[in-house]
Amino acid sequence: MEVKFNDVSFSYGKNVIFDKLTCSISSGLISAIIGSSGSGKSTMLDLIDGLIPCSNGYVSVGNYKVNDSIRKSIGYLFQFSDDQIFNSSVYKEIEFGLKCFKCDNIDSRIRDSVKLVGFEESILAMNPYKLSNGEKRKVAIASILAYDPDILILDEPTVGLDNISKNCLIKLFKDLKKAGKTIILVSHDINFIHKFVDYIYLIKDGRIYLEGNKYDVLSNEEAMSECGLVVPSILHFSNLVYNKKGVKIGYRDEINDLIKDVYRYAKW
Amino acid sequence: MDNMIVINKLSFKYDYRVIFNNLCLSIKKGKFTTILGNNGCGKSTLVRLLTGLEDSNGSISIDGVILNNSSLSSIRRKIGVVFENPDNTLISETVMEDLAFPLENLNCSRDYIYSKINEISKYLGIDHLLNRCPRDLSGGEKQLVGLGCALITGPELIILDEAFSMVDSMSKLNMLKLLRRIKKDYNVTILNISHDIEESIYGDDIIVINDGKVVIHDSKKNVYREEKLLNKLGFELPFMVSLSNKLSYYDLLDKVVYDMEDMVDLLWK
Repeated sequence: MEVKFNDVSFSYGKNVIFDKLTCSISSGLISAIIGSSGSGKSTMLDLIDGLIPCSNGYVSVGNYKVNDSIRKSIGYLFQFSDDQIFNSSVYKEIEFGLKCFKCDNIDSRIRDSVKLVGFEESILAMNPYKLSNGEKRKVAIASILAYDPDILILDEPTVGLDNISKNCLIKLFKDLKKAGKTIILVSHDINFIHKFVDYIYLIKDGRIYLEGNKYDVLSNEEAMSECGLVVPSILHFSNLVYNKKGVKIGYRDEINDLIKDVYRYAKW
Repeated sequence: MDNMIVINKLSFKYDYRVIFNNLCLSIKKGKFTTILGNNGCGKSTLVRLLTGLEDSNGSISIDGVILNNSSLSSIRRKIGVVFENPDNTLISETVMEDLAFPLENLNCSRDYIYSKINEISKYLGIDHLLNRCPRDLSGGEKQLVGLGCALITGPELIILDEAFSMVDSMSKLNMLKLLRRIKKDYNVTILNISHDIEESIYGDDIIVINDGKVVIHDSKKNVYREEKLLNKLGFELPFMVSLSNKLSYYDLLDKVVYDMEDMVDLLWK
């Protein structure tokens, strides 16, 4: 289900966030919206989920304008877990969405969803407010995975997560993409997202400054700096080698692949 | 060197969940120490214990004074904290009012308050934000204001509790470099509590906590040598350290190089 912004305008009071924004987010991909704080990233997600209405224009998901009827197709992760979690046990927290959407097999869905984010079932009895921030984050993610939405909208999914949990999420996102899901996320964690995203929207002052595949956008030093961001270290290294020494070693996702290129070219 | 923090046989649990089990650690004065740990290991709980927001078994001393009910007030004056979510700590209508708040609580004079606001806001590069509403600021700007609120009372210890998790990459880099300067210029002990090992590059020492205990405590140089142990605990080496180590394996480097430009110059001499 493609997500489209059709001449969307939105303001918070007198503060104009978007002015006739038009863009398409393809289905079946993992897309990231990046930009500095205050650029409008989270607002874009809120508009997709219909949490806030457009002043003008509209957002569509597939053939439908965003409204309550498509809510079950969208799983939304809030930027702050404390805004999302409100039940007295992890079990009840995850159960809530399933009951709202009248899903079947509630118990097995709950147990499967916590395993997907790397928890043991023993977490289900715990009070979410007594969990660490990172653990709350994973509970919030599990609660939206449980009702199996077609589109996952994730606002800063890795905030508070350690490496183990982040790697678990990478695997999860890749599996969800294989299953045909669309994932749209906002993240400050550039060094994390470059490992698995397909497409990037770099936004500044409420407009798409640059979009493209991850290497085209994330390696663009000028564009990233203009938008208040830093190029991922592994891509910055390749840029530096080219800019300083005229040697093109290519862009890699993993250090081990980068090492092979460096070894080959540095030995010349 | 004197210790700023000494924790001795600290045990703590939430209901039936054990967080710390006879935890012992010490933080040296004047150092920039990074405490690393995975989710649920007790990082934020440690901050709450150090600031007296929670009671525990065992002892905690700050700058040689045992933390208890009678010393709590004087100890808290020595500590500034920057929390993860600045929206929970910035409460005023302007940045100036938020910076003034800690000093007003200490009954400082108006003149003193204004001179400190002037000094700290210029030092941190946020003087242009003084009349802005904190809620309208970017994440990075909010955390700089939070750091200003922590620094303005002249603490001896600044604790950062996952303070960079909601901050963009450029702001994070600037803040970490700023903390290094603050350590020197204001003679402050810095304690950065995080799950991100990359932040430790800017510090001096590293402590890794796992299963309620200290697993590693050493200079960052020595900790980075323990790659297998770090991997076992779920940490990868910081990018430049990992790159240096792997390049050394291929005889392309013979030391850890932290600066990327220096590394490129060395590789393509």
